[in-house]
Formats: sequence, C-alpha cells, structure tokens
Amino acid sequence: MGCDQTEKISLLVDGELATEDARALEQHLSTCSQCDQVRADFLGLRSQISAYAPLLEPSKPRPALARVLSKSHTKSAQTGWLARLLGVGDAHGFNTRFAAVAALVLMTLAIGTIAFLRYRPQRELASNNFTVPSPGVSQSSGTPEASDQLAGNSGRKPAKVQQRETGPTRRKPNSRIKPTREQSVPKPLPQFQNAAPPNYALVNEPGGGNDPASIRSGDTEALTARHFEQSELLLRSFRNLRVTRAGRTTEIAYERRRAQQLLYRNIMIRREADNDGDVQVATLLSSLEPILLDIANLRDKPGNSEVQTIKERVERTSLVPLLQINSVAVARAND
Amino acid sequence: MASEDEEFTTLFQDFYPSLCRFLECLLDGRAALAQDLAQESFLQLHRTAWSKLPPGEARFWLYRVARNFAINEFRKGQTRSRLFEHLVKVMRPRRRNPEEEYEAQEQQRMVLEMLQNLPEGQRTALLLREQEQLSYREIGHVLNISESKVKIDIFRARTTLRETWSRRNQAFSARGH
Repeated sequence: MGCDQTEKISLLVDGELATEDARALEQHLSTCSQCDQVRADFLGLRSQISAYAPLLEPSKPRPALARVLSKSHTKSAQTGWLARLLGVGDAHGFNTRFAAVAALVLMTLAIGTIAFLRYRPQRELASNNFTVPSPGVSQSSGTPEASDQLAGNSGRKPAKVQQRETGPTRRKPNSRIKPTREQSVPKPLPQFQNAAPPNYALVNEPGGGNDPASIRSGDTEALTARHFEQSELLLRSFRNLRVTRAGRTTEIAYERRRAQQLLYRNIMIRREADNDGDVQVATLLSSLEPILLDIANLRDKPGNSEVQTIKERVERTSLVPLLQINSVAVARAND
Repeated sequence: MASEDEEFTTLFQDFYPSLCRFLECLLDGRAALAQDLAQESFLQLHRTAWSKLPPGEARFWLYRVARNFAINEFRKGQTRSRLFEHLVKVMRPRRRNPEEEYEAQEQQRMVLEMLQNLPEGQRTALLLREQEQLSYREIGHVLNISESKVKIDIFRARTTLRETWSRRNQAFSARGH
C-alpha cells in the first residue's frame, strides 16, 4: 500500500488512537479509498469474529461448581439460565444425593422396561407364530426417535422423569406433555454422558427432547420476559443517544457490551422458541437479533449516520413497543 | 460469606458464556472441551483466588487461567475428546432453513480456520479484543505482556487475517467464474 497507515487504522478501529491522530486519520480515510478499504476489512473481520456463536448451549455445571453456585439465593440466580442448569427453585438448592438416587431409580426402571419390551414380543411369538408384534415394540426399535435416544439426543422426556430430575419446585403441570406408552419408557443414559468431560448439553431437534441442561423448563417464560425487558431498555437507551457537534455520537461502549450479552442470550432463547414452535416469540427475537448484532459491532464512538440507521430500523420495526407488550404478556403467562 | 457467593454466581452468569466462546475459538471449535475448561477455570477461581482478588480483577484472572488451560490442551496433542467433538458437530441443532444452516456453518468454519492459522498469542489478543472488547491495557494485563506488544499482536493478526480473507475471496471468485 502506498500510504501505509494500516497500523494506525488498526488502532483507530479499536479506539486506541489519540484524539488528534484519530481526527487526522479520519480525514485521510475520507480521501484515500485504499485505506478506507482497510478499515472496512478490519471491521468486517470484527463482525465475523464477534458473530461467532458457540456450538453448544451452556452445559450443566459440574457437581462441585453446582454446589458453590447453588449456595447463592439471589433472585437472578433463581430466574436466570443458571437456575435451570442447576435445577434450583425458590428455596431448593442443587441436591446431588437426590439426583444420584433419582438417576439410580431411573436406570433401574429403564433397564426393566427395556427388558420387558424386548422379551415380550418373543414370548408372544413363541406362544403364537401368527401374532403380529405389538406396534409399541416395532416403533420403539426402528424410528429415528429411537436412534436419537441412543445418540443422546432423545425425544421429549416423560413427565415422570422430568419431575424426578427437577424436584418439587418444578412440578408445574405441562399439558403439552402427554406421554404415550412408548414415550413413558425412560431412555437409557447415553454412553458419553458418563465420560469426561461430563454433562454436555446438546440442543435437541425441533419438537424433540428435553435435555436437563436445555433451556426448556418452567423458567423459560421468566427468562424470556426478562430478556424482552432488558432488550427494550437497551433499545430505549440507544434511541436516546446524543450526537455531538462534530457529528459523532457520544461513547456507546456500554450499549455495545450490553448488546453483545443480550445477543448471545437472544440466540439461545430464539432457538428454544423455534424448537417449541412458539412462532410469536421466535419471530420477535429474529427481528431483534440483527439490531443487537449491529449495535454490538459499532465502534466506541460511531458516526451519526451509523447510529441513525440503526435507530430508524428500530423505529420502523416498532421493536420497543413490541418488546414491552410481549414482556408483560409473557410475565403474566408465567404468573 | 453469602454475599461472596452471590457475587461469584453473578460473575458466573455474566462471564461463563463468553468464556466458553473465547475458549471454543482458541480450541478450534471444540465446544465441549471449551465448556469443560471454562468450568474448571471457575472452580479454580473459587478454590484458590476468589477471596484474595481485588474487586474487578476476577474477570481478567479467569481469562488468564482459561488461556493457560487451553495452552495445556495444545500441548497434550489435541487428541482427547476429539471423537466427542465430532459427535457434537454431527448432532448440532439444525435451523429451519438448510441453506441458512449451511451458510452459518461455513461461516463459523471459515472463522475458526483463519484463527487457527494465527500464532496463539496473536489469536488470544485478537479474540479478547473483538469478542470480549477488552482494551489494550486490559489485554496486556490478562496476557502479562506490554501494551505495545498487544498493539503489534493485534495489528499483525488483523493483517494476516485480511490477507487470508482476500486470498480466499480471490480463489472463490476464480472458481466461480
């Protein structure tokens, strides 16, 4: 490159250049297309790297860590994603003994039921060669759900199992869970769950399972409502950003950081809503996501036009009132 | 004591996801291992340093320790849990639109590939800047290097990535037309 300002441009995009130098470089960028392209490339790389979304949802903490975390009874710990991972309710901590006993009972039940289902048709066949095997057996052995169960990515767990795992505070009746005979068979624990590293949470296929570390639980609504509320606050605060005389917006480091945190949570809840088939929440979160991404990718002191563009999009999509309405609706539904 | 536990829980809530992402990018997308190491870092923090650290220092401590764990993993030869990682990738959740899913996967894969071509120090400094938005001073504090070294590392990382990116684009357009 002719003018070789690349190093300074790197500092500029990081907000690490002194004000005078930054001003001079900005001026240079307005006349030099090569350098301007370098800045655009650096910012492009930034958005690629910062948009990287982890492959897995947060996994259930190890028992030692869970014990430490469940000591705290803060409100946030009870309602956030952490509470779901820990399985804590309003007044109950993570109880490893209970979990161990529950797991033992479940395994016994699973082995017993599988043995029963496997041997029964043989008995039936033996007693009558013309008897058609029961539909329950044929379905449980050959469907994709069965292979998913073996792979640890099983279908929705039965209500009984869910109650055992989540403890008394999470025994909220779920009308959507109506286990059939096949569903009520507890799944065998996947092999790799016992191997190190433990407790990995896999996100289930749409319409699928109910992994203990998954977001899906009685707290989902509370988390969603809180997320709506926090996003609404962020958008309001962003809408009220002031512009300086030089055409620059005041520093937005806080908004940017907040947007990044919310973006991560937005992705998790949206996936969860997608899986649950909650179209309303999923749609709202899908329209919120690009806005959060754009705010998260802004510079510390962005130009007025960049901020204005986002503000206009927020207005056009009516996100603030929509978030407000939905946060109240979801919170009420949760009550 | 209770308030200390509350603070620790808040810290976990605030930084566990981003620490996982940071480690995942350092470890070539090995998500499960990243979560394992992130949890190990938090446990280590609680066991050894939590009560001694001055306010505001815990975050930097966490990233420093997590990075050391990641470096240990590099040294181990990156064989542990590869099979599991493969399983995880195979069973990743699918989005509704297969095209969108494919594009997103490609994008993620490309970012990881490009990052893996950087020396570890540059990669870590760049990730702390772009994903965690730490200042140069803070990055220097985490990595125990000077601010000017951070400046150079980030600049070099960006230059390399930019070159790789444009080479890829050229190759892509040459293939396409």
